[in-house]
Amino acid sequence: MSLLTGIAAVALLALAGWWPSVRLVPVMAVGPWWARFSIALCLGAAIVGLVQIALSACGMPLGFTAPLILAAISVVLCRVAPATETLEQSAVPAMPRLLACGLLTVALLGSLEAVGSPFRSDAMRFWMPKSRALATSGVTESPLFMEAGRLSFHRDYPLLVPSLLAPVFGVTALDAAAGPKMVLHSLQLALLGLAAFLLCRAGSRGRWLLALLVATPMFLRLEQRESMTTTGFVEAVPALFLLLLVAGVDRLRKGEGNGADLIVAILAAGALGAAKLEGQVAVLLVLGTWLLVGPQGRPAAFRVGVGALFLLGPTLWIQGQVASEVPAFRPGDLLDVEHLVTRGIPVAAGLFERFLDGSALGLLPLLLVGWAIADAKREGMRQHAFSLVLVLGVAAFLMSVYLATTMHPGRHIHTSAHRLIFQWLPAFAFLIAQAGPSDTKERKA
Amino acid sequence: MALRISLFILSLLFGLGAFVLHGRDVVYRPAFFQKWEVDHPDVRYPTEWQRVHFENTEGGHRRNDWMLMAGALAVGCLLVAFRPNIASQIGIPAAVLCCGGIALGLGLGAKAGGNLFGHIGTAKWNVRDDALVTAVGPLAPIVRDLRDRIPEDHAVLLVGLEDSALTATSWTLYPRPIYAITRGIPGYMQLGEVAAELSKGPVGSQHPGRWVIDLAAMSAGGEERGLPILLPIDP
Repeated sequence: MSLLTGIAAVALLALAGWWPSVRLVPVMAVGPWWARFSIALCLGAAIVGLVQIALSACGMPLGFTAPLILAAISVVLCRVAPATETLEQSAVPAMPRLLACGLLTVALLGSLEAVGSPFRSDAMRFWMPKSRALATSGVTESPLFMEAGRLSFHRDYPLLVPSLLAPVFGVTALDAAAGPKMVLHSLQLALLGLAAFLLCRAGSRGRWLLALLVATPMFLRLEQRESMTTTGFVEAVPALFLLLLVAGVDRLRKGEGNGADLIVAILAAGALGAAKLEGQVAVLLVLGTWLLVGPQGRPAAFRVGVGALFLLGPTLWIQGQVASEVPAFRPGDLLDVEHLVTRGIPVAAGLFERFLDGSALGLLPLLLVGWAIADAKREGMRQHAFSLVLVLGVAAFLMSVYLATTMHPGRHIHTSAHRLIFQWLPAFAFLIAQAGPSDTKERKA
Repeated sequence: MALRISLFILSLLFGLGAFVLHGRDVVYRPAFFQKWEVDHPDVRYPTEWQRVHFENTEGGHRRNDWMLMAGALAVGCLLVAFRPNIASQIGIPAAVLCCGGIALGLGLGAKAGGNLFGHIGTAKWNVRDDALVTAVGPLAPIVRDLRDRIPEDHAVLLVGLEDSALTATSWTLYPRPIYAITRGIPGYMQLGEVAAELSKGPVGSQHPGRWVIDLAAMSAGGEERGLPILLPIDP
């Protein structure tokens, strides 16, 4: 029963995102079915999640009503206002058969693992109680979100994921997990689908990067390391919206984008910031980098920023309500030179080790760095200025988290650095693939 | 030809490195780094036990990371040495990393798949509506009993450091308000004394009733072994 409810919720999310995906991402109209499903699910999750958060901020319990209404509106609009822009089928290159087999295997194994294995620590302690609380009352009325001493209170976890899981948790039995996990895992499948679609279009380098991304051990549950399957972490959700945001921003800053790309970027930024606290930092990093290095499209960067801020309103308001009780970040520590040196060196070493972690991330980070250096030698740093500033921003964020909070790298770094690197890997793979010489040649041809 | 021989030698060296690391349990940081950490102790470790525990955990992770990376590079070098045309598209270093990474992914994926199919049909994998045994294992009857005994509006204070018991109770006892007191109960104290001490504190006092759960006793088998798990704080 729980699993069926989860499948129904996934269908509603995809339906809710179908019309927006057809209108905003016209290349999807001629893309393969899995790519169309992925982007529809991604946009559907963003729209439904943000609407649900706003409803909860108004004091409403979250159920299936909003997803049903949004799905119905999308279906009606598909009839009333279908896509007008048409593209040729050749705009979407076919995926090599071997690569498709690998992708399918990982998707199937991951799905079987996700629906049948139990939730783990974070999901049991934080995501489930938050989701169930949202299903019964509005966020402002539930003490779970307001009382910092409670076990399930976690200020780093905003409400997008609980608001997507709440309808399923609200109607399933107390000890059932398959349905909510189906919803979470569908977003990981959407990440694989979106990454496959974007990387396949980026020439041979993109296809190699896709092969390595799919082979990344974190997509499956492993014995030697916590993985990013939907057993406990939800990192695929921010990774999905980050990839969508970076892809949209990349088109806009190159002057290739239009109004539809702008809306997609705004939606992705809003959903990313509502998915996790570090997602809010990621939105700021992407926008800041865009303003710093891209002369083109600066007004668009402002528009995305303002739009995202508008969508993030309920999230930030809720965060402001709950965060004041927990002393978390001490910026003063970042000005203390002795503190920076004595703590900074072990932290930097720990982060470097995590970056080279073959058992979780495979050899993908090494390849990304190698290709970025090779491109920079050949064509100069300008080609990679966006990626480079973004990397420096992410590294500075990670370092400052460890230097200005009570978190100790020995206790946390193996999970939190992995999570953050996993969130950013698909986006960086996309950026490095875009800069590849094979892609440039193919595009020119 | 020289390139292929070099790649073959590199493959042997990486393979040897992976083999050596396979025989070890942990790999610690270099000596100069350990000395640095001794000279600059981190006040954020509450106890020496925790410092040693996390250092060993990190050492185990490091051993796995390096072993797998060396193994993947060995396979990558070997594949490119035998099929140099792979490198013609993307260059030798990238080809080594791609082949090694994909081989690593295939290896770990096959292992994860094997484990998964081993679990299907057992209590470790199910999609039914009662997944408590799958989620919390042998703690299932204990947490079911706790759920029956504690009223839904009463607060629950969890005392102990046992992670799996903490997770199991937080899952099972929803919607009861749960507060975690992350310290172990000293050997000389009974659960009743802990409850008496907690009754003086404010944690959870706004609720109609409060209960304390000893996570260590719960993990050790609970009341069947004569260890009290649950006591009311404000009888």
